[in-house]
Amino acid sequence: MNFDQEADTPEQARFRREVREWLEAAMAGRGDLKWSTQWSTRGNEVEYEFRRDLARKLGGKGWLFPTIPAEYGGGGLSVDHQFVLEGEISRHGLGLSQVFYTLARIVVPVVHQWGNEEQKKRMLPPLCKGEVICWQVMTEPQGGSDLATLTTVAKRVGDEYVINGQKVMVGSTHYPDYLWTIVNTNPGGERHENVSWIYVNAHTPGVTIQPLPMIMGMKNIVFFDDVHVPVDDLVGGENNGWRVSTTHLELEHDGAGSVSGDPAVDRLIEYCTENSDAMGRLIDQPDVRRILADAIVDGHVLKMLQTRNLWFRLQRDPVPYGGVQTRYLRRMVGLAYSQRFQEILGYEGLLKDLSVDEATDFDYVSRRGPATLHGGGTLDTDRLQFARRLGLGRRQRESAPVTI
Amino acid sequence: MDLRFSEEQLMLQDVVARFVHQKAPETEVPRWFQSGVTHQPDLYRQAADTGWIGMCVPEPLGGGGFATMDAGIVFEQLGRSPVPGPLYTSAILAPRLLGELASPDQQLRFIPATCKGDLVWAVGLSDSSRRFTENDITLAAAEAGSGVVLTGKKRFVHDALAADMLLCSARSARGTILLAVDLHLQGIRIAPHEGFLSSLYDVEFDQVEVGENDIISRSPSCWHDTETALEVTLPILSAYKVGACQRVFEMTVDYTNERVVFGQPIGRFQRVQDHVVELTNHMDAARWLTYEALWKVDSGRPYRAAVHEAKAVASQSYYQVCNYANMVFAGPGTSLDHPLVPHTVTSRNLYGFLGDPNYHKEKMMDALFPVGSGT
Repeated sequence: MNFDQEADTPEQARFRREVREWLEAAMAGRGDLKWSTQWSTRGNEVEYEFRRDLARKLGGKGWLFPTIPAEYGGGGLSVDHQFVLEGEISRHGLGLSQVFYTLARIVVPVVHQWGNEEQKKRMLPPLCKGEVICWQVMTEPQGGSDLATLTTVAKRVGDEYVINGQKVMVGSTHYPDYLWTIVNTNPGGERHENVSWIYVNAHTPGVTIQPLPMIMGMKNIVFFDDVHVPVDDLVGGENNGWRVSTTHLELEHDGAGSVSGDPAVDRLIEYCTENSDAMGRLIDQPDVRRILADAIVDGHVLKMLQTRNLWFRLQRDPVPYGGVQTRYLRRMVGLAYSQRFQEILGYEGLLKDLSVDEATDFDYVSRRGPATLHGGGTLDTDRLQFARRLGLGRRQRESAPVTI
Repeated sequence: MDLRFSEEQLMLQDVVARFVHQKAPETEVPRWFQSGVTHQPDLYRQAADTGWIGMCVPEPLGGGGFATMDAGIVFEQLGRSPVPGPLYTSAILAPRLLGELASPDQQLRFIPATCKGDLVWAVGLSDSSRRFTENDITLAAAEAGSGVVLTGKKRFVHDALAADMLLCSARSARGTILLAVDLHLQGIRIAPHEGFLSSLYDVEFDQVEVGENDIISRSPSCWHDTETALEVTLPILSAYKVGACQRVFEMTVDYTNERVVFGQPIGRFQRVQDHVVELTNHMDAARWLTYEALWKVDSGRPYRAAVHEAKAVASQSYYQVCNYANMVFAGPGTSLDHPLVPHTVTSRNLYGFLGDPNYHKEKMMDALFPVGSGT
């Protein structure tokens, strides 16, 4: 066993030097991004442009999607190279999949797994090269955790599908180029056997996007009114969408893994080290140390399990329940943080501070506790999935879908 | 990075697993716990013959020269039944303290015999009921010539009745000292505790003379040296708890599929599933922090924060894993013949051994952010 993320093969060592040098040049002067482990730039257009440009540069080298073949816009590299890239970009506070807001991190592996050759050659390069923003558009007002109750209908008319319906709580602040959405392609059909995935140009007439402010930030409602989409944009086969969803959901449910960690506690430690009250420095006070210790332990456990997920996935031997486990823990730990931060910081723990990244802003930490308990399914669907993967009350354990 | 065991380590794991399966079957272990004396001399002797007692001791002193990670692999398997007795104290902890604090003569006198299985050790350091502090040492050592006379008691000593020797701290006029005491000496009484615990004793001393040869350390830094020396052994003890958690996890998952009520296996019920989910999370937390701590010790990285963190989490996890298992097993899991019972007892019995989780979290914080240090 070796927990050293930089215990490299000779080729990894060579590649690491190349990546490190390149990133140091590309990130010069952007030490302020050290904790930017998520896509949000909170309306800072200068930062947003920098990150879009960085994504295009990374994508141009094939480093955003290192293991996708070069003919599809990826790097044509090995999992060993991917592991190096994940580690190196995390040294700058970023994650490969979160340079800017795009759900390409999910859409690319799904299209690569389920798309036909023509689709892969057409759809993947702009996504892999960081040139386009793609939202995943799944949830419907009546659906929530019950994704299969889709009422957004795509009706086949000649060489097109005509889509009508509504999706909610999706996307972000910048208008998307593409919508990766799941629709009902056979309203009279059997549940789960009547859904399909379709890749929609967001500028198609009939697509209307309406902002939806929520406590964790800006989301949107997407209306489809007679939106005409070529049949060639349906991916994975008509009415085969539930099987395609297994790959999609595994990635959405933290199955990808990560080495990045959550920097919120790092900032709390920094704050407690730099700030004092009448009792002295915060970090020297026994009650603060007790609460901090629990936060540090939880954060460390979560990071270890996320790293485990990434490493075993790259070995093509994913931990069957690993994704849902860390997703569930991440949310529970996030909820615990929101209280622990307030216990240590009091009202300071609720204040917005635009000078730091959102991930480490105490205001956001306090919001995200309650606000991130639902995205992509609730804590309860996490545990339901977890139980299936453990094989509780079933003859066979459900295995993890292929994601790489 | 490589998060798998090597081929050799998997073979070692397999050898220990078979040993545990044969020598400490789950059908037997509950009976040992019911008898009140859990130590199994034959099993201990066979473990010594196999080379597992003193496994981390350097080969010239009769040990196996194992890496800490390999000792962790052995102890993870021992935790499955759980195999009781002074295995950690005698195979790991005492040899480590002697190796670090004893004189070369004392090491030659004690360590090879320990590795052969001829000297069995109990260890009594702090006398606190829940923490692990020098201030709580109560056993008094009065200077008498070149030796000392012991009066008082060592509290909450694991497996004292199974041991030949006690490695213990005492309070002298010059500060804390560390002694090797022959438990057969006149004036020593081993008093068992009764309660929701196992093989836990007070060792009482009535004017017991200990000669200079058996004083392991009377250095002014004796307690600090003791605390520091034992840190590398903490993740081995944590690994024992990881193996215990793993076995409880397996038996619990099996039970959710076998036990049928209301016409279906209880694993179909989401409330039952939730218990197993939490159980699994505690198990994996203990597992990965323990493996990382073992690796840090072996690879020469700073390990103080990690070993204390792993000890805190493994103790809490074992306790919680047993709690969740009891929620799933309900009545049958509390029958004294049930294999869950030795785990439930051991999870409590080891919870505060060498300091409880709160103590170890404080030590972790002290390692990371010493109080009053600059930024």
